[in-house]
Amino acid sequence: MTTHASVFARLDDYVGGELSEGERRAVRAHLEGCGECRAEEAWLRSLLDQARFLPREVAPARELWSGVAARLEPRDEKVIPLRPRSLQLPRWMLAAAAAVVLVVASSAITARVVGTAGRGPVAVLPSNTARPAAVEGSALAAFRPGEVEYEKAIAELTAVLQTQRDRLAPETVATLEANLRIIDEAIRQSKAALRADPNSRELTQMLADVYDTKVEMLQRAVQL
Amino acid sequence: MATLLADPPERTAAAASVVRRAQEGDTAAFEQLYRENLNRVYALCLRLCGDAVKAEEHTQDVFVRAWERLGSFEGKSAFSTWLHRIAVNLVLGERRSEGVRAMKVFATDDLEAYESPVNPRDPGERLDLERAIAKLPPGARKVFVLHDVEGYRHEEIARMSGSAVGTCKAQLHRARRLLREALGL
Repeated sequence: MTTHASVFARLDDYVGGELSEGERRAVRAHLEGCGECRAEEAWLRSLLDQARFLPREVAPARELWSGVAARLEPRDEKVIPLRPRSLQLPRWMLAAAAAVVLVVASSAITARVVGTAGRGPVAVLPSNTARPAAVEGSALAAFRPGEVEYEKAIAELTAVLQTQRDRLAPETVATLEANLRIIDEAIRQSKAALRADPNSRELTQMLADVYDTKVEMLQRAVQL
Repeated sequence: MATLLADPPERTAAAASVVRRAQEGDTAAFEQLYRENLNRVYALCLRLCGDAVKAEEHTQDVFVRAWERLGSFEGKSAFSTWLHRIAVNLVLGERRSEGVRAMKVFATDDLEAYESPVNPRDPGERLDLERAIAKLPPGARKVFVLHDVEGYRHEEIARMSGSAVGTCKAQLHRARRLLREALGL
């Protein structure tokens, strides 16, 4: 049944052309007899009209090319053909090197999580890293919104990586998967420690560190 | 997403030639691609992140990433479309991690950042809208810019941002409500 509230709630989709023909008919019929919904529709269309006519091009205030040019490395080192047989070994070696670093880092994190149980001094974060503020009484709860964002990022990167999987050498895939398992275990242990000590800022920061590691690793993998 | 301005055939062929030279390592050719696409990429970055300084950094990052990945560009879409997608992914990726770390918005009040050589609408009205968009919360701004300005569909936005379609719709609804309040309509 079509009600004023249901039509009002669907006006966004209506003006965006995202309703089925049947839904559109129902909304149109309601609009004929409802001034409030007609006013809302008119406003939405006006906004869309303004948005559509925003300029497609805006010039930056300063010259940017020199900053780009300085970062362009020679093409022969950067071109990655879709199936670079000749590059498999170097890429595998790079991945293997990354694996060693990650194993060490993850083990250290795990040791800190298990060993300190969050009672030690608060870890000092890198100066350019601001974490979600740990709220007195529930660092775990304060971290949750940030964790949702991490999980979204990981889900998207994982999806992208899946689509590129056949472009990677089997050794690279195996290394990535092994590292992901290690990181996931570190996340699991960090969470367990946080549940036991939900006020620990250090544990919260460690968990964020591990999530950062996972996101960065997936980002690097997507760029391989 | 909305179709970008289509190039006439002769321009398409010329553009393909420039891309090919850039793929072979010709930085002059790549600079030409940069000049041709700079303002489009910057406009997108500026609206998505709402901050002129960050938009400049993102714009540079987009072209560096494009250079790094040029070897994978197969010409199945226009170069500008490919570049546009890189820009969206880069800004969305950066904004995710920044959202986790800072949980704050740096909205620009510097309307000069939005000055454009082409302005088919009333300047005051457009700048009011630009400013209001810049002050939206990050999630709402991202969806509004991609959906209502750039013409992406909810499904595409959800896929690129790793969120649900329903979340995108809710963010768009929120963005429009906030813009209505900001614009006093």
